[in-house]
Amino acid sequence: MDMKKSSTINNQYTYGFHKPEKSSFKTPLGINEKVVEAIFSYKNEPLWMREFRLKALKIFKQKKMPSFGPDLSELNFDKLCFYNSPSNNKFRKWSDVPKDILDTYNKIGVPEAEKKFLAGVEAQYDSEVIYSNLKNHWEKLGVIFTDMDTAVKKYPELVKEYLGTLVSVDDNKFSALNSAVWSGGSFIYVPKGVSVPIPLQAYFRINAKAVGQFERTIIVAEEGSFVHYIEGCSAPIYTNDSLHAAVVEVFVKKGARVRYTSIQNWSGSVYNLVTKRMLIEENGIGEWVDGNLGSKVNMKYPAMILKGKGARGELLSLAYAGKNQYQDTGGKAIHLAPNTTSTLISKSVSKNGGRASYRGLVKIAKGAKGSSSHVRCDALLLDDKSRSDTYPVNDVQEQDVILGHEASVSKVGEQQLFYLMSRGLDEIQATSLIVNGFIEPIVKELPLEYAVELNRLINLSMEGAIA
Amino acid sequence: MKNIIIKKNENLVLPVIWRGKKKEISYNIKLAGVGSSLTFLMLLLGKKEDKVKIQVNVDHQNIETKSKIIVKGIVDDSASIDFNGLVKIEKGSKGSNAWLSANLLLLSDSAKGRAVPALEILENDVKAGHATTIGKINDAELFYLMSRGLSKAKATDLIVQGFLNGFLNYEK
Amino acid sequence: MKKTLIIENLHVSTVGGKEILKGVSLTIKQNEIHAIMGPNGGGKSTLSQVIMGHPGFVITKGKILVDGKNITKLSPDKRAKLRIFLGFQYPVEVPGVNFANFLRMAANENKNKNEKISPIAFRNLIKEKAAKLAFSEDITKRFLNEGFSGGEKKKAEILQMSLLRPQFAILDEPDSGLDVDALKYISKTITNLDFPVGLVVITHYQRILHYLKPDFVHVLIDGKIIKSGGAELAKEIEKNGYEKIFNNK
Repeated sequence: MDMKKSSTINNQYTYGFHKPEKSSFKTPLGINEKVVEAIFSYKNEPLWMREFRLKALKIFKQKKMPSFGPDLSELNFDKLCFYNSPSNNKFRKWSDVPKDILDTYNKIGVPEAEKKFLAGVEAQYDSEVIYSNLKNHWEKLGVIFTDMDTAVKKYPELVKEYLGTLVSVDDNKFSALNSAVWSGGSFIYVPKGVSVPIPLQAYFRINAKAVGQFERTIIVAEEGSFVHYIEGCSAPIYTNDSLHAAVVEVFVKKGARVRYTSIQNWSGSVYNLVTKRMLIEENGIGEWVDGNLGSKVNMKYPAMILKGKGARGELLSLAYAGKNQYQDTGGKAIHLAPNTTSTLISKSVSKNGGRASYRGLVKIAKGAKGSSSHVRCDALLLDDKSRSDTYPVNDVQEQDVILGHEASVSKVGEQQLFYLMSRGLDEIQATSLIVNGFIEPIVKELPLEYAVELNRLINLSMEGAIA
Repeated sequence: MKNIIIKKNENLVLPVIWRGKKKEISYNIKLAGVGSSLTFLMLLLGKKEDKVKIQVNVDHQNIETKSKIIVKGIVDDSASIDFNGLVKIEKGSKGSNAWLSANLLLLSDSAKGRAVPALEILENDVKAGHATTIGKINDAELFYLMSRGLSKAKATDLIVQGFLNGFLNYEK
Repeated sequence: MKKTLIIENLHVSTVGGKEILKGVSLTIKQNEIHAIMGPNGGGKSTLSQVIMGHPGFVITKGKILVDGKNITKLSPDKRAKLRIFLGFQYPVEVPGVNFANFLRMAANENKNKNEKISPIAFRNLIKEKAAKLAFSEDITKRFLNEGFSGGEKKKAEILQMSLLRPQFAILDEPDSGLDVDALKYISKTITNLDFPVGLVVITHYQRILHYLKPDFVHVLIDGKIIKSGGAELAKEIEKNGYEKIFNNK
């Protein structure tokens, strides 16, 4: 056994906003009881978490791989490392950062300070000053915004109340895996009636590191509250990990509203298999804005469970599948109560042999009278090497409803190209404009910096493709 | 499972009507020849306890092939319809078009409908799309007809007829 | 040669092989207004699109010269850079593409680095010119032709022309589908252009020729120009129709 621990850890975890990770720790390859026990003890967690993890491990071993979607046969669990502490994780020399990543950062205008963080040269985005101001602000509101590791110790009762109740450990093989080896992620609690005016961003978490492999996130919005959470980044983040399996559980209580914006652009050969679910109570509003730009294989279907009457769910999903990429994305809306509505909009772009599939489920249960659901998925195929699929399941068990679904697949319109070129734009510029216009309904819901980066990224990739 | 191969420049119009007897209907159709086309019209009339599972697979294997699948279902009483369509356009089938529309009208409280109109497109110089609706009769239409003096039952009948006419006049 | 657009014995077929233009010749000088009239299906729109380099047509014979340069094989954007403009008959909608951003990109294409217009300056310029065309909504906030009424689309084409300042502009039926007011605004904008331009106005109805006096009028029927004349020719057509002209050529 070659576990490395370079300093003793007290039984009391001293959390504080300025504590850097001193020790570095890495589990041996593979997943088994010893690995899970090591994670638990290294993180110094309460006993109930040990039980939770070990039970999950048992279930993980029993569960089968998904019977649909991309080929996951290359994933060899015995050869993966399931816990790698932040200081180990992505420290690299500036000179080791691949040139094309640096080029991309330059071209899309990533600020100097951020480049080192994104490239994994530094473990933390140096945002201390901004961070502490914001922290004061939300503390005054009674909002809890911390990382999951801290929450488990500081707010155990709250965490226990919600953890695993929306995405159960045995939901699927990867929710079981996450439950066994999770680390990092956010815990957000918004009290009744509180509206958090500024979006909570993931990189402002305590000891923020670039996103980890098995993040576990819980958001609870009490009655009448509002919060917008943002994670990820459109600029490519380079990672050595091959498997990411996060779990996100969001609880939108009566009359509350939660918007969860997430953009991933994993560079490298990542399998990103995520389970995200929102439970929306009476008159609550839940919104997923989901940007999928990176990874070799990405499986993500943000789900909305419309449990209370009048609940509303909205999903805006964007997928970009370039060379060697398979984006299997979409969403689910489950209507369980009367007068619930769901809207799912998906836009995908495939290029250079990439494959983008929309996988969706809309189910309207008996009794959900007066409900309606609309799904619109459009796919743009930029060349004849690429592929687009749509697998939409529409299941209606209640008569007094309306469900509509539309999908289209096409290439860039010749008339549109000619029109733009007749105004002096060359083919690459014209195609960029058209592709950016195509994804505009999703991009306009992103915070400005993300939108700008994303548009520039598209322009860059158009240049690469056609040149 | 019915297997059909459509040859070069052949235009197949295939009408299928289900009135509740069969429990399963499946078709595997290949547009194998250049310029071949398929118009598949499916009318589903379910009532009482009728149930059916339908699978229609259409594979575009050549250039300039066209498919149009129109499915209209009326589901009454406790009937239920499960429609699964898979339209695939293979790589190289340039200039092809595919369109699938599936509309299930649920006429009674216990009626149920499920539709999975899947697409797999491996060629970009094509046009493909689909549209599905499942649910009750449009309230606005009902109100409009009733405001002209028709009883709810009569109005419903008219609307259902109109729904079916759409099927019969597919070309328009 | 300077400041001239020459169409020389142009024979054009569709990509599918159908011959539309059967030998069209025209010489347009800057500051001249040429009107091309004729019945539907005669090839007027084809001519305008071919001058701009539409990929759906093939030039089987003849050539097009701008300032002595043969542009017959150039792509549409390269022709635009030679400052040729086409006002489309049916402008296509390009969803999600902001009108102002797109136009600024196009306008800056032909400028040197230090001459490029800033976004704010350009927005103001657009608003100023748009006001003269009486757009009901702020066009800088809208997407390229998306949701525009027929009249708005035509006005938008003229707005683009006034901002891109071409040396030759072909306007394909700029007056069709316009109400009386829109026609007046468009005509006024064209006559008040603050740069020299050679205009080719393709018109089916001649309404616009009441406001823009053409220097030359050509009648295009069945892919050939069968008669050319001055402004009086337009009046003759208005009175007697095309058939008579055709029979009396």
